[in-house]
Amino acid sequence: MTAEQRILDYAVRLRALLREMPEPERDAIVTEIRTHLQECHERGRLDLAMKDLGSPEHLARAYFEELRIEASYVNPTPARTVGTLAILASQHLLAAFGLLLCSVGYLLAGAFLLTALVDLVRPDAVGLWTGQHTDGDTFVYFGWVDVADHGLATAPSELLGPFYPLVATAGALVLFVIADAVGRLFLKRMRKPKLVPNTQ
Amino acid sequence: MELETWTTQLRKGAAELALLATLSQQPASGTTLVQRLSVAPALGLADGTVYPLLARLEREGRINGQWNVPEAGGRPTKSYSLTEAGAASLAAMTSKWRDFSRQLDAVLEAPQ
Repeated sequence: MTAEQRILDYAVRLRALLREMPEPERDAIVTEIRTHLQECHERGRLDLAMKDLGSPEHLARAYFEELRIEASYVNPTPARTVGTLAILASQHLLAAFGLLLCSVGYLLAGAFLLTALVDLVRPDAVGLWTGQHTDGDTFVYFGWVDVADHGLATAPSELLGPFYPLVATAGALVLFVIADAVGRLFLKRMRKPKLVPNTQ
Repeated sequence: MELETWTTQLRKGAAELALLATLSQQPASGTTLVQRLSVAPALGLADGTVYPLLARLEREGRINGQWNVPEAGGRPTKSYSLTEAGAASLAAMTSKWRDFSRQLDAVLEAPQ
């Protein structure tokens, strides 16, 4: 493979790996890296330059780490936060932990909201229930319950009544805010520039 | 902590400062910056670190990237220069670094 072919191959592979980026940004990065490799080739240091850049996979990952963290922190949305943590989680345990906490928070918020909506349609199916099992144990149960559950001594009673949708929605909002704050906190910790070891 | 891990952490903290300081001397392309920084190999600023860092600093508004496309159809090159925000950032980071290194030197030189 000639030097030009090697440079072109590198650029093509890098472009493919950066496909998630907006096209103008991706084009600028690939053009710049290609120019860099061509200049290095003219000075007889193409091999060293390719070694120092790392593989296209390594370089693409470095770009994503630098730019996504920045974008997610400056203009965070739940999807962007979770998406960035998901990408970082494959390399950073801290990001994986943050992703887990964040995802659980958002899922719980969604579950709370769902029960609030279901309660509007089927108030007898969802709520904060209390009752007594046949063995005498009292239970408090949140969510769905089969009112005709044969394990109960008496029909369970719902504690919140017409206020359940409001309480569940408030709970969803609180969980959403907490999940968002946790996600942004972990991204902030990941934000510092990282010298990724060159594995090529 | 292993020495290599500690060294990586140390370089991590210095990367931005080194890059901004180099750009403050004179605007430069990525290739030229890599060449200038190669005189300090202990900083560990390889090409694969410099370019993504440049992209982030540009997005943050601390450096400005300008494309030069030759009229004769030659190779486009991108030149970087420090912005006002970058210069302010550099001044603040330089002050912090000097304080930090002075105090660390004092700790290292203190009688055992």
